[in-house]
Amino acid sequence: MKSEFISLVIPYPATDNSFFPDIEILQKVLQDNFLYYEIIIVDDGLPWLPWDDLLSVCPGIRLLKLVKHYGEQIALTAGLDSAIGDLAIIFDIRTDPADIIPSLVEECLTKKGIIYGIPKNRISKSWIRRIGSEIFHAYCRRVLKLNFQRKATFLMCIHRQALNAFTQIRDRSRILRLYAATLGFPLYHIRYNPKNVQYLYARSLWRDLDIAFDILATASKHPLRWLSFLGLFSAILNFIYGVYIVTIFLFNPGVVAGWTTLSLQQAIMFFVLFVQMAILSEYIGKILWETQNKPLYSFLEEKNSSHLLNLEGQRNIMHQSS
Amino acid sequence: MIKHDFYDVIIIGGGFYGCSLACFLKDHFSKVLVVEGHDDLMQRASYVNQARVHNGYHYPRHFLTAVRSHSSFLRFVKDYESCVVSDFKKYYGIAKKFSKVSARQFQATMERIGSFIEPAPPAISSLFNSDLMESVFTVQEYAFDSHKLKLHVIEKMKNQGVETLLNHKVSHIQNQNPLSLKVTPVDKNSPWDECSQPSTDLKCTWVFNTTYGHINDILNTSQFKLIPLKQEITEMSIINLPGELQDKSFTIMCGPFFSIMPFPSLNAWTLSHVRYTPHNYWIENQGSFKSSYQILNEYKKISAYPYMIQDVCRYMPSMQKSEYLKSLWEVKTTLPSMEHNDGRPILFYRHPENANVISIMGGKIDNIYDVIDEVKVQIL
Repeated sequence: MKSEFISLVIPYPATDNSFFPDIEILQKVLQDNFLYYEIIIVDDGLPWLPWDDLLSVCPGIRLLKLVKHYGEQIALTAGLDSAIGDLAIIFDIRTDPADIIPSLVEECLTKKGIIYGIPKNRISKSWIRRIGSEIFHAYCRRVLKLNFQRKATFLMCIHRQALNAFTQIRDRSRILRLYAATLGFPLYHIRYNPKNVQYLYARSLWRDLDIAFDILATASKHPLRWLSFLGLFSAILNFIYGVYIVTIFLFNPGVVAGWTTLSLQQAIMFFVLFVQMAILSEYIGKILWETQNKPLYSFLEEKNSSHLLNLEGQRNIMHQSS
Repeated sequence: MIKHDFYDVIIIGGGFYGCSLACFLKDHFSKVLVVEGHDDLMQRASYVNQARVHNGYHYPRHFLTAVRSHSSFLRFVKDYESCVVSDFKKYYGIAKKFSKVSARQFQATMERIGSFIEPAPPAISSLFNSDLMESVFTVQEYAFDSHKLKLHVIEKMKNQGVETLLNHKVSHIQNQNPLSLKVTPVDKNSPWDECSQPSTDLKCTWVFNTTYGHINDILNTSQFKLIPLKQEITEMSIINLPGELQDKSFTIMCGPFFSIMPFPSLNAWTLSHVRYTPHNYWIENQGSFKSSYQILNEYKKISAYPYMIQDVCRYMPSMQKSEYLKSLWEVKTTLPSMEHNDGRPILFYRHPENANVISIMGGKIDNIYDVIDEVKVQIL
């Protein structure tokens, strides 16, 4: 029985109680393997659910109800912020099997870093998403130097030191996997067999694109740097073109400025200007979002299991020195 | 004076644990003796420590220790009311860098165990360098007056009828039934040196070895298997605080930081620093053995106070005006298995050579209640 304190964070994924039995199974696995644990379930603005039924039969649960739906990453942040464990596990109750937890914890305690879950079996994706994913990850790896764990599932185990660093970041655009890749803590993975694989990578293509752009804008100034190069390049072109016009004007008195040349110049200039504006607006939007003085999230209430702490009869005594 | 040649219980070591255990066991056994090597009780680790009545704040990374500290806190404050000093404000700060806990986790853990915690007022937070501190909290933690505690315990032992034998050491435990103990007078100035005076043999049913850093000395001479223990030579600086800090106490968590606590028996404060208080350490185990107190006695004691205060002033510039008085030196004993976390469980070890010989080692006097409860389960 391990004495490390385990915090398990689960953003509840359904609008009904269909996963309550899985939570009870999970609690039994934790109870059998760990002296101290907490299951933090985040209700991210879900419709009414019979939580009291679960809390009365299943010990060790802390339920955090958020006032409205903030999205998966903010829900995870709320859970991780209130986790008190030596390590925290981000868990998808739909796909992650409870029996992976002991080996996941062992791995995390031994390596003291961040452990990702990677499915043993290949999960099929459409060809367009496969190609898009390849390009995106290659760009991240080679250009942005971001070492994302490809094919990682939602499952993640975070050592306390890394968790402390996570919780100090208060960006509104929050992608925990991005933090994991950029904070510098060692990344490892554990292979396992997820259940209900239909839920894995169940995001829409548009949501994937949204996340990809968010990562690019959050993690790097690289696109902005390209914009600078583009601006410089077009400025040089304009300068050369100006020199050309002056030269022709000086040495060829018969030339009349033509409509085509003017139009061409204007078209190129406007193209460059609009590209610049589009990229700048992305960054300005981000700055606006980050500087809004609102809390990241608000709690509606916190409820606990009727038996939150399993410390009855325990004394702080050891019978062996090591 | 030894009144009998047979005792139900002999407790080796007259520190707080040994004396408290003797008082408890006297309710259940008729003849209980405490053997102490010094000329008074509670002179070593029970005196040379930070005199902190723990309420869980010190152990945010070991839940059971934190919970048990909190539950013992109220009991200890009630039972030893006359020895507890509470006329100061206690603040815990969480450092921005190198801390193993975040302010958020610290606050959440303390709220979970039920210990009082709230953000410190701005006047207090402004005492700290905001570049180095994440948060400062007001908490409820007290100190004890070790001199008053000693008088309280001695009074209780007298009332209970516990016998004490001072200036004597148990130099050997003979593993037989009943147990036979060789008790030898010691040189008053050096309790590990035996006098030439003849020793006495005492017989008993139970032996409790509560000699803290000295536990393996007796086991070694008695050819019992040694307990792996981590021993540290530690220095605690006794200081006077500048006027504006005198009714306050500060602890910075959770890593290579420091703690300033009142030390009521000297009407001063202690300064201990996680990095500079331990001067050297070793693991006691089978093989070549040397008494930890002998190592302490031979250690060239050069104070690390200049290092301590230099680092403290980075966090609290006003500490520049504090005044160094002296240092207290002691051996601190911990369990090697707790090296990598905050846990400070009490070792309750029944020796395989003879289950009636029990070694008890704990680092916090206010957790005595867990020892008593364990004795109830295992012995009575």
